[in-house]
Amino acid sequence: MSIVERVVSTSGPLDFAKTGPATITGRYLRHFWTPVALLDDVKPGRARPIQIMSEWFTYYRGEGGAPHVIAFACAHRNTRLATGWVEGDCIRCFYHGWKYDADGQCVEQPAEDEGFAKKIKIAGYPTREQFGLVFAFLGAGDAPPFPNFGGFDESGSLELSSYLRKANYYNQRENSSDVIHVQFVHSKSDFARSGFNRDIPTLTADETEYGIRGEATFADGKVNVHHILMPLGVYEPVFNREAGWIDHLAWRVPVTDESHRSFIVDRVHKTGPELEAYRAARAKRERARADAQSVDEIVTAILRGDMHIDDVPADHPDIVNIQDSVSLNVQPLISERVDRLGRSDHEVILLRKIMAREIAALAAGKPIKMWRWEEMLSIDSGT
Amino acid sequence: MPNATLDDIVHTGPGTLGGRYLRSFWQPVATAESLAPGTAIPIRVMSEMYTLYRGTDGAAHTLTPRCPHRGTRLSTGRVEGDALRCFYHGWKFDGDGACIEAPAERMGFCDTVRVRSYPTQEYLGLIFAFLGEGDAPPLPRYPELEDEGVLEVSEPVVWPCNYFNRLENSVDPVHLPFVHGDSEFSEAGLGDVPEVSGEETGFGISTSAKRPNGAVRVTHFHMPNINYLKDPPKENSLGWVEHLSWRVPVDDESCVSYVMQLAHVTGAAAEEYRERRKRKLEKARTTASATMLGPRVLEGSLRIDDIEDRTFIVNLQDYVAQVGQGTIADRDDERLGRSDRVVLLMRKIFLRELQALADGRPLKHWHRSERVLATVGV
Repeated sequence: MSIVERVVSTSGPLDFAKTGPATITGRYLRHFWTPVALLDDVKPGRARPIQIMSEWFTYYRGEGGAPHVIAFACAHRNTRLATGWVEGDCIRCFYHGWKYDADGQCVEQPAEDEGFAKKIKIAGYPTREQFGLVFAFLGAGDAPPFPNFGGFDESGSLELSSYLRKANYYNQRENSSDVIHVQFVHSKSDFARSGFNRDIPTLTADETEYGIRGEATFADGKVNVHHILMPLGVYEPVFNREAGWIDHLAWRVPVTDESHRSFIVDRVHKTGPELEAYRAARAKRERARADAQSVDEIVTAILRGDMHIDDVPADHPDIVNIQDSVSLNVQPLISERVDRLGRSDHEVILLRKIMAREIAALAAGKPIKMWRWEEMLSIDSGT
Repeated sequence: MPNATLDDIVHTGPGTLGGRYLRSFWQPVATAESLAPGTAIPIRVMSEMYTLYRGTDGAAHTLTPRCPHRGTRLSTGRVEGDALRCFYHGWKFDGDGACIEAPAERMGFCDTVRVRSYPTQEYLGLIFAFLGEGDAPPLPRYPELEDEGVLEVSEPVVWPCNYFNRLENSVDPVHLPFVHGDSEFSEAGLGDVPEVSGEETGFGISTSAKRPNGAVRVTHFHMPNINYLKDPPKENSLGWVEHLSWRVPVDDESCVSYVMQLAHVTGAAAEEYRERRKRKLEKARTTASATMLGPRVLEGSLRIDDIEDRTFIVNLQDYVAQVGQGTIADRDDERLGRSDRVVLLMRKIFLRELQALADGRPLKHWHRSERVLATVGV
């Protein structure tokens, strides 16, 4: 057994994959503010059901636009609240008109006696909007302070996006701590033009107050710098064909144990006409996406062996997504894998150790580390 | 060890008694045609995934499904020469499963890494793998199919039933006059009810079906999942064709058939035959298949007798009978008669061998030293 395997195996069980409400990792992740939707996923005055960490909720916006997250089902006979009507900052159930406020307190029951409503309360979750994302605190007890996003929005233009991937969130987390995969998985993509794949870098990673700072040093001495933001975020340089290197802030939020949704805020260093040109180019890519074969179809065909990843045109609008899906969607859950790790997995191992340590602390009733991100972190593409 | 039961025969996942037994034989895992040089595909055999790839020089190799590094699927990688490079971080494995390159790791690291590889050979247009423990036995040969003529390897077809439903059918000639009562089989003279007997041989079971007119049709089941017989003439004028088939579990609830037929035609007649077969295969591509129609017949929305085009009816008839037994036939609730005596013989042989395997006693060494004679019996 190599040293790295020993380090991992003594750090506790690798049961980070399952995040339902009764799981230890699910309980751990619910200690933190989590992005749960794009603000624009619903219009003011509308609602939709959302699934986060294998649990369903109701996301609605008051008529004035404020986002709210409450329990999925009406307390009465459990129909789904998202099919109801928003009234002011309340939502009224479709079935018998019970009305709840944003804290989940029932405030009206048209067919019941006076006084019954005040005894009824369903879960309501603290909710905050930031960068056009809706964050919620889905745990028990008081919410921790909302993270200070350290001036991330003070320069450049912020571009919001989101996508669902049929891979466990933790496979995706490890992929973010693994810059080496770019050399292989993304060898035929936008990255090929970025200069990133010129040689295989040497890696270091250190734990910080926010998570992990990872560095990759190339033969020419230049250093790529990225940050893992515990427990679900990553802040890293990413290359795209329209803008070159951009600052990529993303959260990988479990939807079920087999899928996760990425919530992404890209900071693009462009203003004025340059920014307009960038947005036009992105819109063009969106149109190309509508015409192209879907990611799901292509990934399924590749995984079945009907086609090879190299058969997908390198300029496919979702090429990077397809490439990552091919390697990540079929990796077993972290808890069910028998890995053979090497030095290039240094940061992957550190992340496992941190997760195992924190989850062991939670299980033992000891304090967990409350991660802080209070000043602007610097990243570097290293190109 | 507890007594082996019919339940042990139908379950073939890794570690099961049935699975261990079937894995002690070479099994076809793909047609040679389906694997182009320089490509890799994932395959599923007996509830287990594998990676099958063909080097650029043409040799086929079978490896574990996943890269040992962080478990992504090796079949999505790139073939380089006779080796396969993982898509995720470029670890490269040779056909024996040795890691020969780990680009982001220290020199020497890859020497300590290997994946399992399985002996792989090609024969008669099929790729065979030995997925069991220990040394592979020699790959069995079938000289009857090596004769001059036109050899046709069908595209493998998966049915949603256990492989043993299909095996029992292959030693049951009494089903012919009923299941195939209105088909090319009855037209060829196999339409009346035969007297059935079977005997254990060095390779498996020879089944004899004696017709009222005295003609005897002999078919040969080879352990553990192979059937050799003569099929009625194809495309009208020609003689009976050699038929060799394997039923291989994909998992416990589905199995794939590898079927090949040799027609004894040569020269210009062979060319003509190929042309006629080509046209028939083209027609097959545009005709609803057994796997499409079968479920409709089973749910009662279509009747076999209402299908006007009888060209491919035999397959559908078999599908309806065998899938209709239930995904895994319920053998606790059956009523067998004397016409099932060869089915019982087959079960007896399987149970005997599985018991020997469970007890750690030697298994019967199945082999045949020479040709066997299948007869048409009309």
